[in-house]
Amino acid sequence: MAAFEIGEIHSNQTSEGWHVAIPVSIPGKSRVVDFRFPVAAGEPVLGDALLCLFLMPAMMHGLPLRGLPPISPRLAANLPSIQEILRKWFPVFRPIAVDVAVAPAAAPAPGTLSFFSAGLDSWHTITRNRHQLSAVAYVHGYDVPGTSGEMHAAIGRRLRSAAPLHGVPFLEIETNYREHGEDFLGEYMITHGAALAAIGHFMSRSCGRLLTPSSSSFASQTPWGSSAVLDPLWSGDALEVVYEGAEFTRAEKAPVIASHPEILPQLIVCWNGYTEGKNCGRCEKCLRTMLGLAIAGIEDLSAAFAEPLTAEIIGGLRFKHTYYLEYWQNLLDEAQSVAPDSPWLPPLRRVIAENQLHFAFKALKSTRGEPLPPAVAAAFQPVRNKLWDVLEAQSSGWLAKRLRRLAKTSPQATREVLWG
Amino acid sequence: MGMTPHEPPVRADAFGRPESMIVGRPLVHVGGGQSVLSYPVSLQSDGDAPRHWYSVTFRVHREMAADEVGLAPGLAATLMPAMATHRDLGVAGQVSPFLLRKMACYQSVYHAWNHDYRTCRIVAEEAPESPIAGPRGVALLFSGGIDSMFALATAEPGLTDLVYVSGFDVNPDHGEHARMAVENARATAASLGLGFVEVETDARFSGDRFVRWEDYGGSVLGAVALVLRPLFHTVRIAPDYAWDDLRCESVHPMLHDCWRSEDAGLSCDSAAWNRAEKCARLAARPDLLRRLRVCWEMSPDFLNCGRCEKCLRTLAGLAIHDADIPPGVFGAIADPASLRTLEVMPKWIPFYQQLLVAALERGKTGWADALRDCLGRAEIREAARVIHAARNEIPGSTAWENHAGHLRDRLMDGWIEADPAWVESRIRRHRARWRAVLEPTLAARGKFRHWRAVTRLRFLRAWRKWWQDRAEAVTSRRMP
Repeated sequence: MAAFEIGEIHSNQTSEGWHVAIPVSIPGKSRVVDFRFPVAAGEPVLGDALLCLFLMPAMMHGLPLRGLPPISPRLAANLPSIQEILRKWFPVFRPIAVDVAVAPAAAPAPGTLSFFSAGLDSWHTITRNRHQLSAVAYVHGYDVPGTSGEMHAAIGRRLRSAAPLHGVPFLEIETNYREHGEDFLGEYMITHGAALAAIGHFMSRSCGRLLTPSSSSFASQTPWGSSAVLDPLWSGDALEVVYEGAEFTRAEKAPVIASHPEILPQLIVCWNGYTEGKNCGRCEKCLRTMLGLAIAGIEDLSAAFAEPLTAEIIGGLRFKHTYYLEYWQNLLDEAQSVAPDSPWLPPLRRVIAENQLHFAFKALKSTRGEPLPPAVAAAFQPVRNKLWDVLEAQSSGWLAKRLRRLAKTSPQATREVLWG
Repeated sequence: MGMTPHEPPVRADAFGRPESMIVGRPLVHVGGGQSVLSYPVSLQSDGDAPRHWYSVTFRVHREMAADEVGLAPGLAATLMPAMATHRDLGVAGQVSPFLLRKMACYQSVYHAWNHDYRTCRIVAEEAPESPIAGPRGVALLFSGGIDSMFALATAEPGLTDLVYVSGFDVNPDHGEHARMAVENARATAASLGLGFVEVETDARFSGDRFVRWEDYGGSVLGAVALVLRPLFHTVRIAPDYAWDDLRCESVHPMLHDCWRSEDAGLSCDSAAWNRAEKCARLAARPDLLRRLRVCWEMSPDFLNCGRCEKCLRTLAGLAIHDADIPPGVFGAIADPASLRTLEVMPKWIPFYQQLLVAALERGKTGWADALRDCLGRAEIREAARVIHAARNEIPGSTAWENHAGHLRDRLMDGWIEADPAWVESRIRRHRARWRAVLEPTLAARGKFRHWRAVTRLRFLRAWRKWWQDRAEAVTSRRMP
């Protein structure tokens, strides 16, 4: 019977560290997924890690998962919930059978691991948990596919230069995980939370807790690969996965930079930050981070961003998805709460309103013909005067054309209205 | 430095001293087939004695070892009022450290959801609960609605009792309705050979002053589960929403285990099924459909009115799955036409989307068309709401400029059809301007010199007729 099969795993120690080669296959395709850990990471622990890595690909292919080493009782108990959530959130997944034995529960090691990309979320997590962290890690091959090339060299350089700031040992891990393609292992946007948890499980001989820096707060209910709902379910008996910092929105995390100004030159929020030395200062992510920092009271952002923040740039921003509105609304809430006189409030309000209008008009456009006319009277009652005024002011040519048509068809009635 | 999210300051008394809420030891009465626990809640300023404020009472319609219950239910029922009124919380006795840790998680999640709720400090003596002697069962919180009925239909073996909580959805002052709801739940339990426990509480009555019910209900249900500790080691609750439609409300799968002590408490059922899928499962269970109660407008003849939004959406869900609804359950029959005029609140739109998916999958084109109309109207209303909220940004907005070309004809057609008088009034507003624009057109038609000879009535008739023709043209485009 067809299955997502895990073959014989080779794990060996070299002078550079540990190398794990995991052969996986589906009918007609086979791949070898490699991980390379530094010596300090300790001998990789496989069972729970492999389940985290390959459950989603197996669900995506709709094939039972076979060949897994035994997994911990806690993760085995969480499996039904994980599958339920994945199935509901992402229709690409189908429930599957997982053919695996359950190992005796292992006690967690005392260490705590987190991830470090020098972004706002990871700086926030490190600053809050500096004293309990035993290591932070970056995985070459996760965010950027591949493990070699100029981009990886640049990332390594930037992160190594930032590492002394937090004073926690910094580990670099390499994998060819994403080189096997999204059609084989799934979309990274969906799988990244489990892939990060897998690293924690691999290193669970030395770390009993894994802090995954939260990218959204508890209030965000958007399905995402790493989330407050899903991440803790990847915990095993030897590793507790904590979605760290979810009580803060991204806007609320910005003050951490204001209170640790030495971090600012090392803050990386876009790819330019790795390759050019400074963040571009023009993409949506840069702008929202800059605005958060400005609201937190940092006036000079030139140490981290190549371009200055201006109201015009913010005003011209168009979001690709309604999802971004949540981030910007959080910024507005933060600004109203901590800096009600901030000069950034008007452009912030303007960009939110403008984008809300854009999505509302777009939604209205997508309601094809039929339901609009009868619903217009009731739905647009409060705003139709405003819309008419705007039509008169901005589309007077169009309105005149409509009325001329009317005058031709029914001249008497037109005269009655205009002269009567 | 913002190392914690913004917390409102602690509420102070008239003299500026921080004020705390204190949960006192419960007054317990067992007898006459009932167990009553009443938790006094006091206010205490620094240096003063506590002043009684209000009480939260739980009346369990069964005799039990109420002395074993402890302070946990009072704490659970008081947490959200304390968070909402920005007070710290003290407990006059021992509380399970397990529960206290869970409550800390609950508070950090709830504060992140809504910063108006302050994370309060809980001052309590920690001590594990003493074990309960004798066997205990597993209960299901049961209102008779789709969610709890589905939980009953899919319950694993081991379920021993149904628990009905009075004082939540049906106003206890509406005596007849409240009695019917209890009797319906009791009859359901009896028909399945399960035990039945009714719990009355005034928690909603006291809590409504401080906190929205959506934010409070989950913790009160947690309190009920903790009250029932001598009888049940687990009290199950059916989630309202599925994983793909979670809301920041107090009954949430992420919070499901926050109301547990070491050996008892609330447990949330799987959130794997949405409402349409639950209807599909129940459609095959006429024995349970006989007792389905989703509506607050019961009558002696019907459990559900069959006309309100909730009834209509439930009827649609069941009809799409060809349910044979027993007589006496709904006061009206399922009809796609009834959905066409239904006003759907934005909050419920996902339910209708789920129904639409089910209707399309099952080839129910009548229902699918009605649901599309219904959702289309709801989306238009939602878009109109957003546009109204951002109306001052429309002049000069690039969003408007980008989309106006596609929308203005449709908007104008809609206005002409629905309210020609308003359109006339808008044209009259700038009469002079439009005269100048339209005069050449009218003159070119060669009828300008004759128009004064025509009676006012004729003009008006012609004018109206044009609007009517236009409206008919639009309508015929809509419904060929």
